[in-house]
Amino acid sequence: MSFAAYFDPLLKFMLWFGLAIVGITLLLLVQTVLLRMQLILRQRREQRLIKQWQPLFDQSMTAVPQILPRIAKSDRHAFIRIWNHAQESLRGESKHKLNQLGWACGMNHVAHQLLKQNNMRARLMAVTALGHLQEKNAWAKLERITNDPHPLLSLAAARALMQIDAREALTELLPLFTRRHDWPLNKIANMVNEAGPDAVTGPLTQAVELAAPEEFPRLLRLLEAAHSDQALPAVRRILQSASDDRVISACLQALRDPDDVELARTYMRHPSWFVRVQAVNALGRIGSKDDRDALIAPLSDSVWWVRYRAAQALAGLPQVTLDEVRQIRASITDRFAQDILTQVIAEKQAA
Amino acid sequence: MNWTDWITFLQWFFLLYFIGVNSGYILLNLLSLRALRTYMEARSLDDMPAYSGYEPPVSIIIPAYNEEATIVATVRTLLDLDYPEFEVVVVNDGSQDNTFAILQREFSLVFFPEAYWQRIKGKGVRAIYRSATSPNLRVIEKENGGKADALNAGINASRYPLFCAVDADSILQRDGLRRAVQPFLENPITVASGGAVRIANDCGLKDGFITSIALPKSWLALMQIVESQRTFLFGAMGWSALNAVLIVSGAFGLFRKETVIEAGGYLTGTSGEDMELILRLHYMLRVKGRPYHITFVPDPIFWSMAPETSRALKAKRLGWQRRLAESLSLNMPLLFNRKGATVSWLAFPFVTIFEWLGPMFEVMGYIFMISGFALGLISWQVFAVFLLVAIGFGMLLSGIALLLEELSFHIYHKPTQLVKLLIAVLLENFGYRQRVSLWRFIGLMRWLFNRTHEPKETVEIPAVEA
Repeated sequence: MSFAAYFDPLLKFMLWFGLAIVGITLLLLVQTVLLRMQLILRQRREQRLIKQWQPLFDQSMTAVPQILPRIAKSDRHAFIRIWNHAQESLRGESKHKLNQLGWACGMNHVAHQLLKQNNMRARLMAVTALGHLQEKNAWAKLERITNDPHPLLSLAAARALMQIDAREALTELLPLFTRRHDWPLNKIANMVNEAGPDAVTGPLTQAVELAAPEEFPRLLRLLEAAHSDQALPAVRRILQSASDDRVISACLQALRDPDDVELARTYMRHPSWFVRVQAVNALGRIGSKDDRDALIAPLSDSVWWVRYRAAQALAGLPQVTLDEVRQIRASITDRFAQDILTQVIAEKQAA
Repeated sequence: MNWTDWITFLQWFFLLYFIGVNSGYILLNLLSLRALRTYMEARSLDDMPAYSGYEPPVSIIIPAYNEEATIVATVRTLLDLDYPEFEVVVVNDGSQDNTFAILQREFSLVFFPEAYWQRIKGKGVRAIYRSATSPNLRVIEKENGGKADALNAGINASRYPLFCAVDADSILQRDGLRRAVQPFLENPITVASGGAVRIANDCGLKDGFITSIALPKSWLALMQIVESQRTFLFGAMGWSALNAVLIVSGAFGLFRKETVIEAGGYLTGTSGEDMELILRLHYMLRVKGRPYHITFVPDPIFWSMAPETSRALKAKRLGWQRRLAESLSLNMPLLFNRKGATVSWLAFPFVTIFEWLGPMFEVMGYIFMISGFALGLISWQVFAVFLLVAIGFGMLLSGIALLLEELSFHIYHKPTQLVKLLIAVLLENFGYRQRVSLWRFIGLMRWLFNRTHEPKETVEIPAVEA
């Protein structure tokens, strides 16, 4: 009589179920070992490629070598990764030189091939490489990918377009910058920064002027990331008519010119505390000794941050000495104002 | 029903319970497989310089009570983290030993007249000190009020929009903070992120950081690696995909400060303040209908020493069960809350049945089956099938977790380490798992019958809107 005959049908089912579970477990463990072997082989291949190509990358900084090794089909993914990594670590002219090597060894073809794959990592690497190569023929493909629902892939495509032609790309990308909230602002700021103020200031300033209140702070932050002060006239205009707290706050953050001090003072008693904080901060940045008295009232504000920033602004005003700040502390009666000034005086002394 | 019907009912109940609990975890691991794939794709661009930067400043808060042995090393390590802008706030919670004196000596602390803003009420702050040598280090001297109270004081004193709560004995990965911050950068509605603790026994350590990763020589610690992969690591990743993470370890958790203050800060008087806060955040944000995300980061972020003796492990598991029971029982309004979505209808019931009450069913299941078989009440066939299913499922679950580790971080590089882990996956189910269930069952009973840590104070939980 077989072992299974001792079991009634339901129990027999459970027995086979249990045995199947154990079988699947053993298969999984074998799969784990196979994965490890695959990983070891992949790492060896990558090491071999690095050893082979790193001297050629170095050599290409002076002149592209005449004879280049062929990239095997199985090495494409690893090679493009190494090349991208080398590109990301370079700046200026060196990038162009490595690009020449990329073109010489047919990197553009490799990238176009990998772009057709379903493997997301391969596509990410391909998009990144096409951006570095400034491959104009990939423009239409990359433009399509910017609308891909995968945030990382679409963002990488946006960056590639910016690398190819930032001005042209911005006309397509600006609406996406405000609409695609799955694109982290810091990553967009990085690519704007990478493109440089000359390329991005014009289109961004125009976009800031036309932006809806909910889009405005995001675009203004991008403009700041590009280290551009050309947006100031637009910021002033917007600030004079703005009613949305977010817009006012973002505009106040952007003020850098001492001529705007009157504009900043207007918001010192605004009902929203985060607007008051930015107004006080702005006075600290662009104010003069004349703003000393204007900064005393916010030292007694109900919100700690407004008091703290007012004290910092006061102590940081040009020609206002620490002794003067001590005198102000002695002259005021509000305990909160005294405490916050005591703290800021100590901070100044410690600095 | 006569007694034989009862026995038949119970044997099927326990059999199906074991299938249920393990199937639940397997589903979670499969969910985490999908989430991990996306995560690892994003990570493939991480080492490229243009994909980083603009990280927000972070306040690191370390509550310290009688930590004279470890506090200096921990603070030095934290000051050396790879992160652009951060401050370290040590809260000396009325230590009885020389914690403060040692800190004062090693970091040249000087009294600082800070206008302390008590946004979360707590025990009195005596003084605030600044380091003359490390400008981003401050020490808060306060009356003893427990870990939660110390964390609240740290939150009050912190300057930055994100704060990171760290245990004084945690070993952080040098880039751990950078990794934990990523969810805040990538998804602006993120309010908290945390990671799973990795086990540091026998790993190489230099200047407070892990320099080489090794498997522990102790089999007990090795079993904890398998257990941690199975339950805490990839289970949590699955919950993260559903935005239903219920546990962010107290040893390392990153939070949006304003949201935590809005929720009332950490609850004092409970030992499970870390999990309790997460549950309360879920409750508050779900009730208010605000979009948010609590994210689990699977990267190795922080490490801790695992107990190598049964006694120490037992104490740890007893404590864990108590904390779990306290946190869940304090947040029962979240269970089946109509606004609670996946948290109320999936994660909370799952954790209640399989984690909170689970050890009771598991222990009772084993006792019933073994005693029933010994007394001749249960046939050997039923007993054999029970063991096959209970142990087989346990091995499958641990096997999937190991496979996920291999697909993602494969932090144990050497082939011999993999072999050792494969053996541990199989052996863990013969004794270790049952022993842990027993300890957790004892913890559950102690919490039920001997509630020595009743919350002394409560934080007002927002009422459910009609």
